[in-house]
Amino acid sequence: MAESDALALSEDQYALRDTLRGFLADRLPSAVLRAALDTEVGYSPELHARLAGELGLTGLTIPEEFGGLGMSQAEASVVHTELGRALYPGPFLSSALTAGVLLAGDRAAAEYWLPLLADGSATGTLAAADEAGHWSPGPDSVRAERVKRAGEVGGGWRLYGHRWYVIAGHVADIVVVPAMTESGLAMFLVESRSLGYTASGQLGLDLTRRVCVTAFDEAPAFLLGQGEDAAAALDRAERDFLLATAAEAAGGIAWCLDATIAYAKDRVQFGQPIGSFQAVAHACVDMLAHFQSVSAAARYAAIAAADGSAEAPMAAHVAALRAGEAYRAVTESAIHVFGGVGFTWEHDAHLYYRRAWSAERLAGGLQAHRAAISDLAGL
Amino acid sequence: MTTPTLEEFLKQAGAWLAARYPKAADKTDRRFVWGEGDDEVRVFQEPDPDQEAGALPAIRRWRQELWDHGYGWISGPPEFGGAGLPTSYARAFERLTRQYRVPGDSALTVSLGMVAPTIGRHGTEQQKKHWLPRLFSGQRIACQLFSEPGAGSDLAGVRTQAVRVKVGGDSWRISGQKVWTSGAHLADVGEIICRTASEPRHRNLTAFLIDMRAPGVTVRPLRQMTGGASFNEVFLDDVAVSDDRRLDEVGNGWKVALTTLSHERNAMGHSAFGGAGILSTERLIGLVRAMGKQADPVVRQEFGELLSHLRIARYTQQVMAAQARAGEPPGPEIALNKLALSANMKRLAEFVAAVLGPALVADTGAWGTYAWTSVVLGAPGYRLGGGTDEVLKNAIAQRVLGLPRPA
Repeated sequence: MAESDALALSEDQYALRDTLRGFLADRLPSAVLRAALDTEVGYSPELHARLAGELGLTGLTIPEEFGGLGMSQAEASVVHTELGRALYPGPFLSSALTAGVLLAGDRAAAEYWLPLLADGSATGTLAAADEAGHWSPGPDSVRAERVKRAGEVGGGWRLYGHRWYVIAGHVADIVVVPAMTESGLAMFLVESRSLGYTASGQLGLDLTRRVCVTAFDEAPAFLLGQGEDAAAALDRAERDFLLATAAEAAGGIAWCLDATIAYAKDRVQFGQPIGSFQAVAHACVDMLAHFQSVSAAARYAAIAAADGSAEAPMAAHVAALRAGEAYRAVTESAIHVFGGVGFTWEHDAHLYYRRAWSAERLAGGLQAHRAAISDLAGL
Repeated sequence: MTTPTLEEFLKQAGAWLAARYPKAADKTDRRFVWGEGDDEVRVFQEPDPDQEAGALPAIRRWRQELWDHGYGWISGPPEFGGAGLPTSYARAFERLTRQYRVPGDSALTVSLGMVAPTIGRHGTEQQKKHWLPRLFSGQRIACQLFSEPGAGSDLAGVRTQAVRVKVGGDSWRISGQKVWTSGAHLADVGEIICRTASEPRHRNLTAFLIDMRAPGVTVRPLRQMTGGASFNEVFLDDVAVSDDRRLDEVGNGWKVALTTLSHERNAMGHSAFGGAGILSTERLIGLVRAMGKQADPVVRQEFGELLSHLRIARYTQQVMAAQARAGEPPGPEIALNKLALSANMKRLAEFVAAVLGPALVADTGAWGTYAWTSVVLGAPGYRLGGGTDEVLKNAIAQRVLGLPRPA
C-alpha cells in the first residue's frame, strides 16, 4: 500500500475526470442547477439519463456481467469528486450505495436490479439511519416479520418501522433496508411503489441533496442476506458512503478554492486587489492546504478500499473526519473572502456551505470518526 | 557504456552494500515497547555538537567509499564525477541503503541537498569541477551562511559586507555576523550571501564560498530555548576570499540565495511531510495507557483528532511519492508539508500536555513522561525554521495561487 503506484491518477482516470468535468461545466452551470433545484424532484432526470447513457457512470462500479463498467473505488473516487465539485443533485450516490449492497446479497435480486441501476433506468437508495443518525442496529431498528402465506416471492417478509435521512428517498425505485428479524440483522429490498412504504421529503439544509423520512408499515420486502453477510454489507456501504463523502468534499473544496482565488485577484478595495493583503492571501493558502490534504486522504482511502488494505477502515474514517472539518472551514472562509456578496442567496457559496454542513452530519459526525479512529488504532 | 537496467543496478548495489555494511535490524524488531530503552522523544533533532563532530570521520569514510565506487552522485553528470544515471536510480539506491547500517547522509543535508545544487546551477565550469566531487565524496562539507541578527525573514536585508580589494590579486574582504547556521562547526566551506553595494535592493548582494577555517572566522554554538545547541553563530572579521570563490556575477547573490532556499524548502517539505513519521502510534497509545486515561472519552476524542492529522500527513506523502514516480513531482506547494509539520507539532504538544497533566512539569523519574517536554519546547521552533509559517504562506500565495504581491 505504502508504495502503491495506484495512488497517482492513471491516464484513464485523468481522462474520466476531464470528460466529466467538461460535461458538468457545459450541462450544469449554476443557472441550470438552480432551475433544477426548484423542480419537484430537485434534479434533472434528463441530465441524469445522459450521465447514465452517454457516460455510463451509473454502472461505474457494477460488474460487467450485470451491465456495468466493472471499475473500482479508485474510479468511483474520481467521479464523486467531480460530482461534488458541481454539486450534482441527482440520485447518483444513493444508487451507487444500493448497487454495492445488492452485489453482496441475493443473486436473483442482483441479476434483476443491477442491470437496471447500471443503465440508469432505476434508481435506488439505502435507508439505514435511525433518528439519531446511527446505522448500527438499535432498539428502534426496522423490524422484519415473515408472513406464512403460500406463493409469496422472496419468502414473504414484511417491514415495520422508520428510517431517517434517506438520500433521494423521494425518487428511489428501490430501497435497501437493514432490519432485525427474530434471528438477528438482515438486509432487505423494498420496492418504493409497494403499499406500506412512504417517503416524505423534508425541508433540508442541503438544497442539492434531498433527504427523506421513510416509513415501513407492513411493507413487502425481499430478503437479500442475513447474519454476518448482512452486517458486512452494511459496514461496506457505510465505508463507501464515507469514501464518497470525502471525495465529494475534495471536489467542493476545489470549487471554493478556484472561485475564491479568482475573486481575490479581481476584487479591488483600498486601491488594490484584496488577494494582495496578507490576511486574505493566508486564508487562501489555508484553503489550498485543506484541498491538498483532503484530496490525498480521499484518494488514499479509495485505493486502500480497492486494494483491500488493512488500513482501509482507518483511512475511511480519517478521510471523513478531515474532509468534514475542512469542507466546513473552506466554505466558511470562501464566504468570508467574498464578503457581503458571498452572503447573498444568489451567490453559489452558500450551496457549498450547506452541502458541507449537511454532508458532515450525514456521514456520522466528527465525534463518531474520532472515536472510530481511536478504536481502530487499538487505544 | 550502456546504462544498466534498474534491476541490474540495484542487484549490483545491493551486493556492494552487503559486502561492506551489516544488515539493519528488521523493522518489526524495532517496534516500540513502552518502558524499554531510552525514553527520549526524538522529534527535534538536537545532536550534541561534540558527538556530531565525533561521528564525522565515519560519515566522511562512507561518502568516500560511495564516491570511489560510483555511488556518490548517482544522478550527477559524468563530467563532474557523477554516474549519469536517472534520478529514479538515485532514489532507489537511497531506499536500498536503509536496509543496511550505514552512517547515512543526515548530517550532510545542507552540503549535498542545498549547497551542491546551488554550485551546480550558479558555479563556473572550474568551480563545479573543483567543488562538486569534493562535496559528494565528503572530502569537503558545506554549510549555508544566510540569516543575520538583523535579517531573518527579510533575507535581502543582510548587512555582512564584502569589499573588493585589487591589491596583490583580485580578492574580497568580508566582515559581519551570521546566525542560525546548522553545522558550521563541522563545515569546511560556507556559502555566504554578502552585501556588495548599497542598492538597488535584490541587486546589491553577492554570493561566495568561504573557507570556514580561514583567519577571522569564529564559530560559536547557539543555545536555543530547548537547552540544546543545534545551530551556530558565525562571526566574520575581515575574512579574505579570492575572487575565484565568488558564485555567479557580482550583484547576483539574491538569485543564488533563492536557488539554495528553494532546495531547502524542497528538502524540508520532503523530509517533514507534516510529521508523517515523527513518532509511532504505539508510543502515543503507551502514553495514554501509562497515564490511565484510555477510557476517558475526551482523551479518546483528542487522540482520534491528533492521529487523523498524523495519518493525513503520511497519506499525503505516499500520494505525492506515487505522483512523483508517475512523472509529476510536486512544485512549490511542497512547502505546505512544512506548514502541516509545524501545526502537527503544536497539536502533539497540546495532546501530550493534556494527557500528562502535572507530570509534564516535573521530572518524577517515571519513564516516558517528562521526556515529552522536548516536544512542548521544540514546537515554536518548527514554526520558525526553514522560513516562518508566514513567509512560506506568502511564497505559496504568490507562486502557487498567483495572488498579487502586497503593494
